[in-house]
Amino acid sequence: MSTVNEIRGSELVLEEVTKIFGTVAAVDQVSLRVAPSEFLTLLGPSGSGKTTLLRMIGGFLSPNSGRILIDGDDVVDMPVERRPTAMLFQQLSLWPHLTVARNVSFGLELRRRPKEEIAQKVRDLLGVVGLSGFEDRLPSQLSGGQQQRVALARALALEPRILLLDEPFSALDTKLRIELRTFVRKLQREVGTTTILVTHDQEEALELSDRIVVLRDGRVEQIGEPTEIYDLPKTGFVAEFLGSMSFLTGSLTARGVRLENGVEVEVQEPFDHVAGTPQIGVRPEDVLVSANEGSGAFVIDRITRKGYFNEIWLSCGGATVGAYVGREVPGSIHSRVDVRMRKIHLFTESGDAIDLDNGNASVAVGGGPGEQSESERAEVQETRR
Amino acid sequence: MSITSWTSRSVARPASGVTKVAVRVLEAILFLAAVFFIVVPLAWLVLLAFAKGFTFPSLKPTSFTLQWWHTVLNSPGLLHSVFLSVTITPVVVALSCLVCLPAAYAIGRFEFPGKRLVLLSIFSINAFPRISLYIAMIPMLFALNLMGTVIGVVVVQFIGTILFMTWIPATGFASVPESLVDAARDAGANKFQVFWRVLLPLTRPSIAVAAVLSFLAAFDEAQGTFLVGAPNYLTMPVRMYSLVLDYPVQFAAVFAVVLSIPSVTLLILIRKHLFAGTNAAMHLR
Repeated sequence: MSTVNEIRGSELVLEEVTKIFGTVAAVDQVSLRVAPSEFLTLLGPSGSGKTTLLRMIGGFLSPNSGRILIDGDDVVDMPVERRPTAMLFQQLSLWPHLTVARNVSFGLELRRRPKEEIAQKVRDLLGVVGLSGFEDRLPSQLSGGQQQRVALARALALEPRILLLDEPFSALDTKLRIELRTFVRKLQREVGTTTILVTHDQEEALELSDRIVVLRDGRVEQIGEPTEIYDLPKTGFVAEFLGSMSFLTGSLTARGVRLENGVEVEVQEPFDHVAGTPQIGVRPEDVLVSANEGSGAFVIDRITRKGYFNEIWLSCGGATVGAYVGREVPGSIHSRVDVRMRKIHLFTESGDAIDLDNGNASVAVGGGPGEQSESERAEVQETRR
Repeated sequence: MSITSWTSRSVARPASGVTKVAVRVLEAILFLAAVFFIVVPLAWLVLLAFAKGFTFPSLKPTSFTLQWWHTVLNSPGLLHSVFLSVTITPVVVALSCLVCLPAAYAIGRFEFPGKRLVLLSIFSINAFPRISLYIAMIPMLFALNLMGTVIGVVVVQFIGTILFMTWIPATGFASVPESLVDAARDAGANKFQVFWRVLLPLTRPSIAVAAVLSFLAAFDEAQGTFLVGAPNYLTMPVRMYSLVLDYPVQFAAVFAVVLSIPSVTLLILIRKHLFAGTNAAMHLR
């Protein structure tokens, strides 16, 4: 198997990029910096502006305001065909009238490279994506996964300094998806091209990214390394989108949480003590369930089998908590069980994380919900820039 | 292909025994109807061209003859008509491609003000009796000194191809997924290269269909050609019309057979393109 040439990844900087469709800001003053050779993921639900942002970087859309800098050069006015970017599309996008080889060589032919060089490169790239010998097939004769591999070879043939991945794995079945994304990540490390992935799949984002940008309604909700975002979500939205989280209302005591109906739940890890009644978030893997000889404050409402583990839903008064337990469920539906928590996350009423270390607890607890989320977002962007 | 294999393949859902039989019977009836209304008249026409004493109520010719062919092929001006038809028609189709394909591209790929009006006016060419359109055009052609000229004939035949050459390729252009165009631009193709290397090849099947229909429309056009071209430029269909009126029906039959030779040849020549293209177009979906 041959290897592909190393590509010098570019630095990408977005400065207050805004795109308005009609009256809606699909992308609203997004600023971020992507380091050379970094793998950055734009994560968010549909309508969060992630694809719009990616298409602006690729040149398919132009922003209403803001700057897009590649290695310091503003490329906003540069047409798609001249940008040093290449995109892997969500839909299968091979040209059906061209063979696999011609699909890969298309861009090189346009660049009028010598014939031998093109042939060599096509051979190399098809070898890299594991499709040697498929040169003369038509796209319709390939499976979805093979087609997306060809599309990857086609994108790499352009030696892009920034590779844009627009949910390229979403049309594939689970096994193939995992296989291909692992392959892409490995290849990206070898080649070194700066890569931006758009996805709504949290698992994909956590697995592949150097850093994740969580987008919501066209704005940056949080930027950070996968573990950082998972462990310290800045908002309830991020916490629910990356992993899952149950929210409880109650007050904090010395040993844990007192729910509204007076039941006290022990929390093992130390947590910040804030006044008032913050929203208390807990991840299902941090909920420890133990059977207590048929007594206990919580009742099992629902059990969902997930294969190697079970997800169970517990209630206590008005509070509902999800928990992951192993293959052995400590009880059955309607059983009473005891619950402890390993770790909790605290949020204000409007969903912003209360982070005493950053000294914003007082603001967060006391401030009005609207302004407060604004200031929080501004701060996130400021600190990350 | 036998009728049974044809029907069993065309039934998509598994059907119960009774429905299956009913479907087969229905398909057989449709098939026979098609044979009766398309093949029988054509066969009759061919038979007529070689027949003697083939008039109602006799159901088969009393004898065969080449006399009608002899007369038609020796009639003065026939060669000139053949020459005119086989030279003017390709010119008309080429002109139609040149003028209509860019329009089809614009209609298929872009939104622009007045698009509906353009489509409506293209459609209206075929919505009214053609003769009224020609009559309205004649003063214009007189003013431009085009009456009785080849250019006049080309223009009048071109009118009849506009709908095909615009409408069909426009739907072809419109059906190319945006992602294929995006991918081409991403690979470094400018707008012209996108058109030439991606859109045009993918639209080839619909362009081929449009070209065939345009060719046939222009080749068979008689009314306008007669009004504008007579007496200097009498193409084959124009000549046939006058034969139908002035001579026994066998003359027209011979002419009809002669007239269908180029069309049939054309269809045979490009059938590969038509079907290969259809397959490629299907794969887009």
